[in-house]
Amino acid sequence: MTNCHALPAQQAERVTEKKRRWPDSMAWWFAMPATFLMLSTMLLPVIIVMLLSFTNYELGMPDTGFVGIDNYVSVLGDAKFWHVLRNTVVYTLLVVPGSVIGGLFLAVLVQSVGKGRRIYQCLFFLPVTATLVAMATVWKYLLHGQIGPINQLLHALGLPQMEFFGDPGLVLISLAIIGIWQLAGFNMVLFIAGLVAIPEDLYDAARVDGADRPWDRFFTVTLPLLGPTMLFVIVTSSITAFKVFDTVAVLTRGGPQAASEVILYQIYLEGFQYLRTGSAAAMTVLFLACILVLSWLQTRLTEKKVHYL
Amino acid sequence: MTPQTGYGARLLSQLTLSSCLRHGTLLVLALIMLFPFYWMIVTAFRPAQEVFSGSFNWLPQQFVGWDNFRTALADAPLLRYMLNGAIVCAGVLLVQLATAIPCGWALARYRFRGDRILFGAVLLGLCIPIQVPAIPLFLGLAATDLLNTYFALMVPFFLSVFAIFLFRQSFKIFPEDIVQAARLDGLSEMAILWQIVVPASKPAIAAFSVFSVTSHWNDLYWPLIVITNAELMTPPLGLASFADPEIGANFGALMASATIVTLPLMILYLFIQRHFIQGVTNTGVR
Amino acid sequence: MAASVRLEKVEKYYGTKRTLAEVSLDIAAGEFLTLVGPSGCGKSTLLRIVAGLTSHEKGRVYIGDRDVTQFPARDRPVSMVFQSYALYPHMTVAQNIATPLRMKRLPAPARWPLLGRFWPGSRKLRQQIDHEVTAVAAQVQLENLLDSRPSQLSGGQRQRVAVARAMVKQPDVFLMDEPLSNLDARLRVHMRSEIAALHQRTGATFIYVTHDQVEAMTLSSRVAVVMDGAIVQVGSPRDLYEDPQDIRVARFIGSPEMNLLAITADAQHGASLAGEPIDRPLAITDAVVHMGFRPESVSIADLSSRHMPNAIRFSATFERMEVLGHDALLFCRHLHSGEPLVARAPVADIDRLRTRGNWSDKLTLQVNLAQTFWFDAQGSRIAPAYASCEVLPIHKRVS
Repeated sequence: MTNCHALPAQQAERVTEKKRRWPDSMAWWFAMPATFLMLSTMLLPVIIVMLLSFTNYELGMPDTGFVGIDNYVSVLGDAKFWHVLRNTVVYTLLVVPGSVIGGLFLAVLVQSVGKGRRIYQCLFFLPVTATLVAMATVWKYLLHGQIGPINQLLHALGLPQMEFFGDPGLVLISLAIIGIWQLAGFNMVLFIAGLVAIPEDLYDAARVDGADRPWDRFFTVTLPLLGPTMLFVIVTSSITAFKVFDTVAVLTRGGPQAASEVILYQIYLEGFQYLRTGSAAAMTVLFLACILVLSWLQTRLTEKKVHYL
Repeated sequence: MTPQTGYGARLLSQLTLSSCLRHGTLLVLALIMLFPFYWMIVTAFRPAQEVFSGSFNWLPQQFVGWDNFRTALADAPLLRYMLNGAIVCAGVLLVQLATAIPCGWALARYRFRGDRILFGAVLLGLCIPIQVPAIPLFLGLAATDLLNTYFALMVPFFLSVFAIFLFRQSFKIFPEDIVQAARLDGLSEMAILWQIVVPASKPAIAAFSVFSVTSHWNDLYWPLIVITNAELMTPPLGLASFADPEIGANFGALMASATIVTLPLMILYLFIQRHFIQGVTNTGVR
Repeated sequence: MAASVRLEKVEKYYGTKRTLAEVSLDIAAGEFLTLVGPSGCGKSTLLRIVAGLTSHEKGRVYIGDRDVTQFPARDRPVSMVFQSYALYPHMTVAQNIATPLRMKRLPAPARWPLLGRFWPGSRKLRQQIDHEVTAVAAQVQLENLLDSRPSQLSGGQRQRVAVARAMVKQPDVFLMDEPLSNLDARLRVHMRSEIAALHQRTGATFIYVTHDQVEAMTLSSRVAVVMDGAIVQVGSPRDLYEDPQDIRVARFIGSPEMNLLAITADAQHGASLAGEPIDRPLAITDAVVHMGFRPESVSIADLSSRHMPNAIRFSATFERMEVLGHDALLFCRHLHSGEPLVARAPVADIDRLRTRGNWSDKLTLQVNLAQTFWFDAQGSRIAPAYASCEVLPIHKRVS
């Protein structure tokens, strides 16, 4: 779980309030440290990455030259890249619905009980705080093909045992299970924040209007008013899932048979193991492009429907 | 005046079927969610042969006490890793707060030349994950011979656009009246921010701190890139390098080390969770 | 179709605290009854209990002749307008108004977002619903706003949407929970007449909750004053004003507040009015009673040369004056005890005093005993103490 990602400018700027005019010098005095960091650790490196992607730079090699879009051509023409992208997308498509619906379900359930809410919130959020690398090893053991308890449970139920990390067809699902496990609690907290903001009055009005049963209440009031939250959760979950790395690096190393190679792992190998910096830079730019498209697309599609408050 | 129906009786009547069902479901789900933790802790107390025995037991058949923990601490400098993690997280958090709070305040309340560009850059930055500037930062640190240092571990995270965004949202709703009153009392703008606004924004700061510490304690990608010296490894990195040879061999010790590494953050969270949840709810991270 | 509403010994607890104490109330069909009282007195809770939104521990609720105590809100023939309007922000005005009808008439599958329209017969039902929604919207002048969202409307428009949503159900009982308190003063006056007109038009039973006693007095035929979880008095606005049965009612109704002075009796020293010994012979059995009189019953003794029979006189210091137009309010303090007193006098009279040169800080106020209200130490209304005096000469007798 790393940086969260935000809503587009339109929603943030919607809150228009009277602002004081400050002398520029004073304002920038406040904003300067952050701006400096932004330029040096964010914007400049991004520009450099883009520049590097047009070179054939390799770490340690003396001669470098501009190769134009050669890197992009070779990366996009490489079947491996598409394979890796496909894996990442499949993983994302598994994790996002699971963690979003799971988080929503947990949030609604936790808020529906009168007592003990805080305890449940705390319990379900614990996986989020756990070090994924550490828990990955635990999950490796849990899902172990022979000695893992899950397989023992399956065996006890009369079902065939599964090579969770050994079967190329299953490995992405296994990784997705771990991803959902870690993300659901986080989404739950976000959804609870959204649920708490729904005015109690609306539920009363719904009851008087006849929407009394839990199902009716959910679809008449809860879900529509969770719109903005839902958008936020889906976008952040997608980006988090797309950035999967830890579990792959520790558990599968991309295997078995490259079935779990994901884009960040590939970039890592390319840039820091094989030291083909130029090529890795190109992949990084493509990675960034995917993420931007992901956020932009999701926001565009749902923004109009979702912001009515 | 005593109520006709006792308070206790009324409580009992609330114990309806539906509430039992809800609590039941929640408890089952909680057990499933927490099962990995349980298994981790229990296995840390099992001997190796029991781990590989292939039979499922809820509790260790043979309790080996702290043996696995001793092995884990001996085989890998786990405490050192955790110290490194603490140093890095603390350093990062301090700089993040020191830079993001003023910037968020300026963006929240005041118009100044370039504020729209700045905010646009913040929003853009929210979409740029740390892995993107990783290569150039690595090259820069390599060129200045700053790899394998605490500074290298912290540098990419000093800037937190998420913090700027979060604090801007939170400061936007701070009552202007209080700020005016402070001005009339003669406080400088800096003083207003740090002495008036910040203490009142503790939930938001707590919420962000939890996010920050959690994600940087648990980060693997960046330490993997800049650190090769075992003395400076952070917990995930240390554990990853430790786990490699051990995975086949001593699961008990591995689980023990996983427990040691995971516990601090979980305990920290348990202490701070009330403020954290309140902070998330208040600032409406939507 | 209007229905009567009856509450029978309703009790409600919040934890161990009793918030409603054996409340019984009879509301006739087609009546406009207001529940009025200070914040936290339990009036909103009562309303919600009638609506079926809040449960209660003891007692029964009847609508019409049916015992609806166990019925949830949706099964009761009531509509409610909330203080915050509670409009669904994601729906248009038309959809907001249509919701009660959709819930009632369309079976669940017909309400599904995309596929619902294919449910057999749903088209006809929808058209019927649209027709009714448009009709109701026209009644509150919302026809042009049917496609807007609540966030695009003004406060007054939102309020009308809330009213329309309540109307479309054609309920037997309209419940209104402080619907005007979020509006500015001018709009409030306008909406008050709209609500009165609505009552006339529909003929339904209206139960209206407000903390504003002016609203209560002007809107309804009967007012129930709720204090501390109990109904203290029910009556017409005039009854409450002219004949309060409880000191709390006397205080609450009427603006500015009724003047209340304590009268203590002492076997040795006789009666004293807020510490100041009085010259009238009064027979008081309790140690302390309260005498109340409205500002308009107070006159300035210095003004009239004629000696008012049967009056109690006392001295007061003048503090400040509020000119209302024709009259002015004089804010004074009882000289002896420092108790605040308010008198109401025509501005012309005050001017006359001034020109006469009789105006000073110290005024002598007098109150006609016939216009006083007497309350015992517990706050209940009692017969005027002066009546139990010795028989007075005819020209001094109370008329």
